[in-house]
Amino acid sequence: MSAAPTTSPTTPAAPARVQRQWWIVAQREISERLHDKGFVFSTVFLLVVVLAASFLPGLLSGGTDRYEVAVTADTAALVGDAQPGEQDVQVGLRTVADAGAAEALVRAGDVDAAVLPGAGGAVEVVGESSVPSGLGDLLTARVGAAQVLAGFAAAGVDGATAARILATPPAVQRLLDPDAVDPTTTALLGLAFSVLFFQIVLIFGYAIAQSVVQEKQTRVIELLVTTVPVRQLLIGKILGNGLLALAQLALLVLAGLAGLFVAQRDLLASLPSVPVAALWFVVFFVLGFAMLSCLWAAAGAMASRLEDLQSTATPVQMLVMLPFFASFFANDPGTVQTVLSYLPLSSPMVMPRRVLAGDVALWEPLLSLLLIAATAAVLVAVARRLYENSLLQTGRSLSLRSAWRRAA
Amino acid sequence: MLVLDAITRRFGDRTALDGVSLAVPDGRMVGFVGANGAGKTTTMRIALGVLAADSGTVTFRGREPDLAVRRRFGYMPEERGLYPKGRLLDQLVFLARLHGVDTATARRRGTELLERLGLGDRLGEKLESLSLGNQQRVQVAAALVHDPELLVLDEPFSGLDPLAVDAMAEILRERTRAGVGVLFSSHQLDLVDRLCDELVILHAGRVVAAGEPQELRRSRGGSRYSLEVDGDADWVRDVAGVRVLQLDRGSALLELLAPGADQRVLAEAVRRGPVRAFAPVLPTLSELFQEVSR
Repeated sequence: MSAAPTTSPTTPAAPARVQRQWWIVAQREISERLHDKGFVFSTVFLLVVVLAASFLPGLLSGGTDRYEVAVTADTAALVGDAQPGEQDVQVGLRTVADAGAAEALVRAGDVDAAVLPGAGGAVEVVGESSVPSGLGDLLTARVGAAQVLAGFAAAGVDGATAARILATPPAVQRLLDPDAVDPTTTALLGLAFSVLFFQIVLIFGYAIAQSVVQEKQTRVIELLVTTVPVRQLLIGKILGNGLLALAQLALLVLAGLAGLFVAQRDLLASLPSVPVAALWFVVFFVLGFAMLSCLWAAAGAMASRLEDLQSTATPVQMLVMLPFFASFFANDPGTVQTVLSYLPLSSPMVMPRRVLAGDVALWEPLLSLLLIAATAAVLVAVARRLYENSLLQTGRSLSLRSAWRRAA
Repeated sequence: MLVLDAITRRFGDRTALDGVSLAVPDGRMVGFVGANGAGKTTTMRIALGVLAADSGTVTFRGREPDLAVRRRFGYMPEERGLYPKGRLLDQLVFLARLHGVDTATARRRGTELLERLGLGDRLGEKLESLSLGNQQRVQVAAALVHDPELLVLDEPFSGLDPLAVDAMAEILRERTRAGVGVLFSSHQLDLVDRLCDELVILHAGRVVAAGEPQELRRSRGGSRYSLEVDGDADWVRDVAGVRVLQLDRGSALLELLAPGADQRVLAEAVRRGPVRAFAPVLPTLSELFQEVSR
């Protein structure tokens, strides 16, 4: 084997440097996913949804409302004076010649309502199809006060006395525990955690399964196994997709928190447990994803073509969907919620919700994580065996039993 | 040298390989032929460690190859395998890196190979956008990109046009000159005949012939002679120990069944008139293949 001159001489049989092949595999997964327009689009879409959900309510409800109201010379005095208890609302009056002109403005949408003289000395608040409820109450109160004042004057009560009577402050609300977390808000946020986990695990889990079955279908696997141990291949796939999933999740969670911080700072301040719960959620997500992703890889390996994936992936889909729906019934604190917060398949969706509500001790999420880790260890071992046994069986999709037995 | 010794492999109750032994010396091009289902692909997969043998051993340079050694093999599977949506150069770089080549070298070699195979202007295109023949060239490049010390190529020429076959053959020759052993299977026997230094013929899971092609023909071809004389050669039918395979006026193809028959034919021919040609005929590879595969 003396080598004649050649362009690229072979190196002697030094064993190839053992490098981190799982990382090379992971890099390819990431780069492929990032080049996938569908993935980029869905990420942007989710981001927009999260930002909208955290921004819009604040923008729509927050701040001072301003209404425009058309009046005639007869009614201007009735609604001119602001009443005590009107908060954060401004009313601009636009005096017009007659009722017809006022109604025209209402129809055109130039004003929110009009106050017009009605039949028999009554006063009408006129809207197009409706009068904004806050504005309606306010105008009714102003008109009522003006009419009472006029009534006092007619009865001979002098103006100062009448004003003093009317200035008596209205009843106010007093809350015993204003800082307690609003259960509706926590339920919604908890739901958001569930949906995020469910969505991302499904999307990325399916991506892993597809990536595995594609390598089988295109027979790339035949080339890969001559140089990469199957375990490294599995690790690389899960790591690549897992990192992307985590990045997407972190992006969404941070965007949500940032949106709340900018647009609804009061709400965020009233929920001091949100950032902590979000952090727990991310930790739960990482372990939960690791636990399930191996099963997705096994489902992919058991199919032989993309068309078969639907059937081999169904059991795994169930393992994600059933706990997700179960978590719906665990909205309120109670035995069901507590149990679900420890069951490994549902705990990533339920325990962060309990943390959010603020009624758990530190050991509780830790114990729950430990249970997930233990389950993950078992599932990973099972999935790895299914994966390794099925990977080179390219003829047909395998049953669970034959995939399990093959290497025995 | 890659050596397979007494490899046996069963699938269920079917014996796919039955004591297959063969050797691929460094720097030699070994052609591997056999009918469909003879066991070529199974043999190659076992050589690469993709499949395990039920019994028998595989050694490379005297040792059983572990993954680190096998990583220095180049493989082209029968059912081609690359990522349809991957860009040409990216795929090669990915595979080379998995074989332990650093990224910069992988990039350089991948570019070089694709250029030589006529795909230099399509490095960034997706595999699926190429014609099947061009995809095949990329597959060739994938087997070579990590500069392997042994090449195992399952049907490397199928689907290639004559130009690509030549480019491919040239690249393989270059590798063998550098000391790389090449085992390749093919159904194109004339191509095998032209390229290989050694030949292994597999039939129903057994090696039925192995050696240098010329030698194999001499030893396995029986003793056929062609004769050309002026005038009609019909008389040759009466010579003892001769079977006439073809006869067309003055030219005949004979099979000599007894020792000394060649001399009797020649003497008789000379006695009857001018002899234009009398020579042994070696069987073509496909004739040899037909015979041993029976």
